[in-house]
Amino acid sequence: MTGLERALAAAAVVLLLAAGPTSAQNAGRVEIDVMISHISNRPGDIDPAGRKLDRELRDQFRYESLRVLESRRLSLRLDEVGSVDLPNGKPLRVRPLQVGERGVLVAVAIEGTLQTDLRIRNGHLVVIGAEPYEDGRLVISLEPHF
Amino acid sequence: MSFARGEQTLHAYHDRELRGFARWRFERRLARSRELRRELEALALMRELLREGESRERTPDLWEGIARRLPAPGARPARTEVREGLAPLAWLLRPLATAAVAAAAAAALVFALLSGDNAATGVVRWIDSGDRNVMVLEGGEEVTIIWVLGDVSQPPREGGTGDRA
Repeated sequence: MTGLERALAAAAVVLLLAAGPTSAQNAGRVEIDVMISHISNRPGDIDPAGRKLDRELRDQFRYESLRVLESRRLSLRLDEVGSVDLPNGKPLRVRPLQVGERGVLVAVAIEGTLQTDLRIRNGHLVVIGAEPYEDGRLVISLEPHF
Repeated sequence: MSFARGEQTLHAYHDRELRGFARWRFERRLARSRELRRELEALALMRELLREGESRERTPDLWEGIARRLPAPGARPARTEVREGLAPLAWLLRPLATAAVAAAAAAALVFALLSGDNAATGVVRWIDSGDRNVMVLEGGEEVTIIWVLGDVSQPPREGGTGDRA
């Protein structure tokens, strides 16, 4: 092995060692995009940030306006609980339990309203219409990436 | 193996989600452990009770979805025209069509019941919304909609797996 080859091999080892911890940190983590929106029969605009949600809801429910109140990405390890406070004071809790071939198994709870276990594929959008709020309804969108 | 990890594996096996080596390894543990077999039986019983409870207690209130599809006040229904040549057979075609639809529905129901993986393919695995009705729309590949109908002042019942969140 020449000096150049040795240097290249050493550089490769250093790169692998440097990359190792990063991969380990990301392994087992589930990113979940959480969006809290408010739909209402009061005339108004469709929030540009909520156009995807509007496309999915428009054919199913009657409303005139849609506002995105909060949008956040939770980065959670398995069994770690992520929490987002809803505008009505209730907490939304999300806990990834298992990642499998058919997606991530997530326990979702809205205190006093709903508890559910969902098996969600990567990038699949889950919309929960749960909480009456002001003159409309809060709509929670969950989209996992793993 | 930690308790939480073991519980996950138990649920995954029960839901037919373990494959290959993981499934073989779990079945080997299952064959050796009476306690594990009891846990699996208890889990199966609990799911069965939940399913029975759901089907007995919950009658989905689909009004919110149906209301949207109702015609506007004053709207006139579209006229159904029967071609003149088939008009004399209309009395026969109607019950035949009804029977065909009923047979198709029965076949779909039997297929759904016999298909073991049917329950495993849905997004919603378990849900508790107390005494409120829930509408679940799982039509598309890209989205699942869960809609809690009616008043949400009463809390859901205690228990179930969802309280883990």
